[in-house]
Amino acid sequence: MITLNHYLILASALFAIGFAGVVLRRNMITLLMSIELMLNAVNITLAGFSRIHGNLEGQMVAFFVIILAAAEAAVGLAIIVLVFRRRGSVQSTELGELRDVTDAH
Amino acid sequence: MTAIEVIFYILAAVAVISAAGVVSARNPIYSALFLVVTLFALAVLFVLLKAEFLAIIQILTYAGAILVLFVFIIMLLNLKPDELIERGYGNAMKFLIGIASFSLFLILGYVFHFAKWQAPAINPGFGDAASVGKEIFTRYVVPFELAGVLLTVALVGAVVLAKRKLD
Repeated sequence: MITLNHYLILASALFAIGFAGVVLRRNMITLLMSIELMLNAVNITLAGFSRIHGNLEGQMVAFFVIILAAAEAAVGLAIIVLVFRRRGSVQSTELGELRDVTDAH
Repeated sequence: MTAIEVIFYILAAVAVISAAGVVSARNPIYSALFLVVTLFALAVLFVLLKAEFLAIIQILTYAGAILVLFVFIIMLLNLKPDELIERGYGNAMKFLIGIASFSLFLILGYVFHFAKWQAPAINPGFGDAASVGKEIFTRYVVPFELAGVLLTVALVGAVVLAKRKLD
């Protein structure tokens, strides 16, 4: 019998994998995709709780999360294109101007 | 094992393995393709959770629009193999991050372990386009309109940012 716990544990596995991607990767495109992964993990929990409560509120929030992800991907990718045009690279390590200059690089 | 269980375990395995592929693939195009697989598996899981409309939106918006945008940008940038090499963390740090994210998984799993499953009897139309649409255009009409404004702002912002020359 598949219970809510199965879905929630799947969602936490996906969230942890997405988190690892955000922390580990330096390629900004992959980084954005890891964020999408984390948002999807949250959507699974929202749909699961919506199912056990028997109302549509969780699904509504998941719906708006998808809209938000679309907006975020559009603006994020535009920023990546801009960074690539200026620096010729999509590595997040290229963007360190605001770093403390006394900090050892 | 019932059919639902078999479907769930297969889809969960596919989702987790391809999610690991998204994170570990060196070339972003492979990450994007792995992400498509994860999104489709999750869409089927949405159907199992009686969220049919959400599943359709997941495929249309995520796999259809967002992923196409990703693939388009990857093709547009046309990164050379030497530009894909990441000056990332050392192996010890990578191991630590792996431990950290695994403990994040354990903590979340432990918290979620307390959730109780009492699958209630739900209406036949739960989660289909009619019931979700009714909800969107009555209770959630203001967030819906705001989402439209947000998408317009994001569209204008993306065009302004990515435009070659501002005049």
